[in-house]
Amino acid sequence: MLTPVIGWTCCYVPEEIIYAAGFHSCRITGNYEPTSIVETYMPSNVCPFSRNIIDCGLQGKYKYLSGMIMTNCCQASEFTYDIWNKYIDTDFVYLLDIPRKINNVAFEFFKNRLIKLVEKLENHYHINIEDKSLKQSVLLFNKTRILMNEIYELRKNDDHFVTCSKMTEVINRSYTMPRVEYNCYLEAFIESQKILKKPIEVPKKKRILLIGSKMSHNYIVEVIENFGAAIVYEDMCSFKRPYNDIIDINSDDIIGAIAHRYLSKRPCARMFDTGTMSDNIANIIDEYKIDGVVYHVLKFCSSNIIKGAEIRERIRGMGIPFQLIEGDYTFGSIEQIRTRINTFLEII
Amino acid sequence: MYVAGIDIGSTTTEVIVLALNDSVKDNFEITGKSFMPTGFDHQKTAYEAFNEALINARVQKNDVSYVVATGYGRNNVSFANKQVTEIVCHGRGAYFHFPNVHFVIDIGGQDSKVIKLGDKGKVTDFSMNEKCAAGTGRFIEVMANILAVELNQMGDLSFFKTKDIQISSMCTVFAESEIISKISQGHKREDIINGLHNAVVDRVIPMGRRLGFQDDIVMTGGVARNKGVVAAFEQKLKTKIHVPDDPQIMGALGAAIIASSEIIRS
Repeated sequence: MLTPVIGWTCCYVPEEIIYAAGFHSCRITGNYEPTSIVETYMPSNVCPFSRNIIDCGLQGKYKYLSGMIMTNCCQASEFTYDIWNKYIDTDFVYLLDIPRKINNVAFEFFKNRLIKLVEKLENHYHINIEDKSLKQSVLLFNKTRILMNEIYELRKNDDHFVTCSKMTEVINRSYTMPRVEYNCYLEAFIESQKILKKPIEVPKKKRILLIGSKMSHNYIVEVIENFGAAIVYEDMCSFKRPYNDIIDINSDDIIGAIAHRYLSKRPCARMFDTGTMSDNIANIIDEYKIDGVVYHVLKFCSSNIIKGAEIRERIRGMGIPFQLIEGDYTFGSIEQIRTRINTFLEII
Repeated sequence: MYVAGIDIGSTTTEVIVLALNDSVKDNFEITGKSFMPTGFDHQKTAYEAFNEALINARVQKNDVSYVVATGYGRNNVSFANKQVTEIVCHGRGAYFHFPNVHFVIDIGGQDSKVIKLGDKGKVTDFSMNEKCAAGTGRFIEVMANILAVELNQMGDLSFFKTKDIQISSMCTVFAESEIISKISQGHKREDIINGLHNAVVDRVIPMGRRLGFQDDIVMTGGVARNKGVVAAFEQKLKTKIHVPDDPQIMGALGAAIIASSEIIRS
């Protein structure tokens, strides 16, 4: 029998729990196609990613899903839950509450929400999720994190540089491949990168940091790379951010450890933030010797647009050029994006 | 020796031919010009506009040693030696006319941009409207159509306004319905036009503020020919807006100047 699949959208959803419950976990990323039927349920001035996945769902593209877990990471995500729950035929649809602050009260709250999620899964599917299987699952996902960090270490070395286009492919596989196989894939990928000495002349290229809203296709990345620049780091929920920190496997309270890791991971723009996000970005700029920053936001993504103003000031204060580009989760506005990126790369 | 710049914009295409004098830097003369609607076929328009400019300059195609293409259709000009984005070209064109100015507002058919210039007209930063027609030439064109006014009369008419009208919709489509409501409410055409100009200006000013707008600004692009928009900018920013004689050709001129420096460099 095929393993049933539970989908998720936001990197605050602990995949470990889905896996420990005996499901295959799959990140839902939409298909970048223009939307056709979502207008009936969602106005056009809402997050284009949410609109895209709802459109796909309404078209019946996610019939393979047994369950779907969303979060209250932003308002659009809550709308997505409401509409999915009501109009898309998925057996188990769940909204996970995530606090915006990081403190002891929030940890306790989030841990209780995760316990609730475990209970919901257990009752809905008549299963038992034991601590043992949670720990096994954590072990597997920790391994992915370790391997992913190894790739990013490797990328610092110009001889083994991995392009952002390639990274998009590597990361996108993690959304669909079974975890054991994916870890094997990463190991093989790392070995192949170590052996391959590539003629990529990274030192001569302009070094770009790509940050902002999620991106699951490399069409914008290609515009940057084809113009002769190298994206040397990406700080997005669809790149390294979900893989930064390890869960404490030795903890007696495994759900507490999962809650701790997810809440204190490198923050997304939705978090109440006292400057951690811009500090992180400033560190990356120094560590990776960044020449320019491209900040990609999805249209109507208030979290990232508002956070962008603060980050822009910080980056400009460091004397690093900064360019905002606005995507709409389709390929439609690529020429406008190209003009911005070409000019930006011409002037830095 | 001759060089040319060709700007294939979303709405119009312009070509500038420059005669270079003895390879002395920045010593050139505009000898040929052409201007036409872009239409659908970029290649065809590029050839036609280029030929017209050559005839105007009384030179042969072979006399032109370097061509720089810019604008949305820049990658569709097969005879161009180099492609440069219109942001850089408008910066260079504006710098040529007003070397002491550090900010350029360029409003064309489908884009509005604010460009910040550093030394020698080099672009140091810019911001640009997103995938939306609000605050662009197209916006004014659509509204002129609804108000049954020729596009080139919009500027002059706005000076006859009798009261201030707020156009609150940012979206061209919504603004259209808002204008229709205003018409049915019996508002004066001149007042509505003035309100529209202010709406465009309100949309562009925040882009400039993000770059740290300072006094003395150049305005280029087709919309700079609309005196009402220029006046609205001056009023709201409380500074002089410089408009070159032919603001629409600044992209093509900048492209031609870049072409001349490519020749000198080689």
